[in-house]
Amino acid sequence: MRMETGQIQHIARLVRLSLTEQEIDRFRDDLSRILESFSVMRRADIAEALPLTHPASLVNVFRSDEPGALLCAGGEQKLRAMFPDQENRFLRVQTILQRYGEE
Amino acid sequence: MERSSNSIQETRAAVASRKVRTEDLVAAALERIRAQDGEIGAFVTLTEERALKRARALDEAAAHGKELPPLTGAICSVKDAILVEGARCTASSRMLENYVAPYQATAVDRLEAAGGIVIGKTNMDEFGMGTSTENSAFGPTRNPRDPSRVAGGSSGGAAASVAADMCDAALGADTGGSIRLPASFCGVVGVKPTYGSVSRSGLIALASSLDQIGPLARNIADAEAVFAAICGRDSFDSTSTEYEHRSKDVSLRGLRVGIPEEYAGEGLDPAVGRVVQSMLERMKDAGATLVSVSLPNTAFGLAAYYMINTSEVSSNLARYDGIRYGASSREGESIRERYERTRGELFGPEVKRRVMLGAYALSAGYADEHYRRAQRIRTLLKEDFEKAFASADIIAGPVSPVLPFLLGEKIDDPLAMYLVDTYTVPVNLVGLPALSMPAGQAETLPVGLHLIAPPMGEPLLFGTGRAVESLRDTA
Repeated sequence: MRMETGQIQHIARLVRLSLTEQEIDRFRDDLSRILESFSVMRRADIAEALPLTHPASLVNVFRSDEPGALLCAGGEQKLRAMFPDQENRFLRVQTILQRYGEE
Repeated sequence: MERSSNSIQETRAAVASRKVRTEDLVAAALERIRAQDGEIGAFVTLTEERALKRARALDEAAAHGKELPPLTGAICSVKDAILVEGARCTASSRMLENYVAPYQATAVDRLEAAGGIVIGKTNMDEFGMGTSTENSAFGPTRNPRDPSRVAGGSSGGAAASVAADMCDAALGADTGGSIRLPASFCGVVGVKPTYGSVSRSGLIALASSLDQIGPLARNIADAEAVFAAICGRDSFDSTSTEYEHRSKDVSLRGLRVGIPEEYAGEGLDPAVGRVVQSMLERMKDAGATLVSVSLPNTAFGLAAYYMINTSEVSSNLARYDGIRYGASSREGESIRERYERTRGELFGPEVKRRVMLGAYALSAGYADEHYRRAQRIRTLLKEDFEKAFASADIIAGPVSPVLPFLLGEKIDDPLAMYLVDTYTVPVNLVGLPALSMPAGQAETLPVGLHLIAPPMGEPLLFGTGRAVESLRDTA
């Protein structure tokens, strides 16, 4: 199963990865070989099989909506301490929404 | 201080009777780590102060004649995918190079409450992706039994830390064999418990339907003691199940041991096969019945596993954008450029490969052929095991088709690396409990025996392990 350079570039954009030319070539070849090998799955007789997304049977787990133990005892402050770029209590990022007409 | 080859139970007794101080055990372990880890590379971070503080608290309790918890004095390492509060947690990735855990995994809470002492964080394949611990951003972990060879992965540091006698036990994580394979390569015990039996809260997620935290140790009893301490429902992990472990003695006499027909294929190194076969023969001589079973969909297991693994990976790793935590690239004018550069610069090649493969497997037009087909094969594998467990109590075979290989031998061939997981991945797909235990050596290299039990079959699994261990050690 032969992947094309264009496909790799497209996937890289989808997963937000910037790749060098060499990486694009290398991953194109790697993914081609891997998918070729995994095409063995076509021989499986899945006609009667439903998909299994999870080994355990998934059950809704409920509890009452009351404040309880905190996962992070240090609270919000501790989490904000990890922001790479902070202003007051806010996390600073580049503009996400552009004005109409800009890229 | 001479390293005793005590079991965890013996160590606790020695601390309780004041024969030994936990603080001295910690100091001795740190000495052994410093003497060897330059060459082996098992540890990413040492948590010396934390370990000494806890040790002193336990010694204080012992001095006052207080009841000591079951793992008192056990020096433990924790895989660097499992959060320990206040300690760096890198997942062996540059993406999290300076990330300090703001909270900790439930499994670590329970380990420490049981008296286990966390001495450091161990090296792994980046984000758990790999079979050799060569994919770490901080250098590989070498096999203590032969430092020119890999320790196995992805919990290579965990296995090496126990094999090199730097600790008594380790917490690792297993998604497709990542505890069992390095345990086999390093000659220690490694256990992947039933999916849901150990909380995943505080485990950096790789593939959420496959990941499980589990223990590595020098012997079955120690591994079982750690499992008993960490298992059970956790309100922070809604996939965790009610689980109270009860230890059970198992006799090999009359035990039906299933041997899958499909595992004796051409991929298996005969040297590995001979060691495993020899152990199985000894079990038979001790009264076990060897039963041939069939797992007909084995041939599709590896492909199905990697399709599911990479799909879940591509989703779970989307959070690493350099925005809320972790390292980030300040380059780039737009937010998209920032994401792309951060991830492009800070992820290693195997991570990139899997993130892309997963995205492809999930994408419109391809999801049916790849992802959904893999999920249906997963059902077939579950049915294979259910049928096999109708005629066998436990399933046995090799953990790895190959002996521990040389550093660099497979790193340029991702497919060859994936093939090493052939026997271990079906277990994760179906959520079964399984362990690797030392079965012997081939050419002086360790070979592990793989034991697989039905879901929630840990008492049978550990009981059988203990019985085989007794057999092995009374040569």
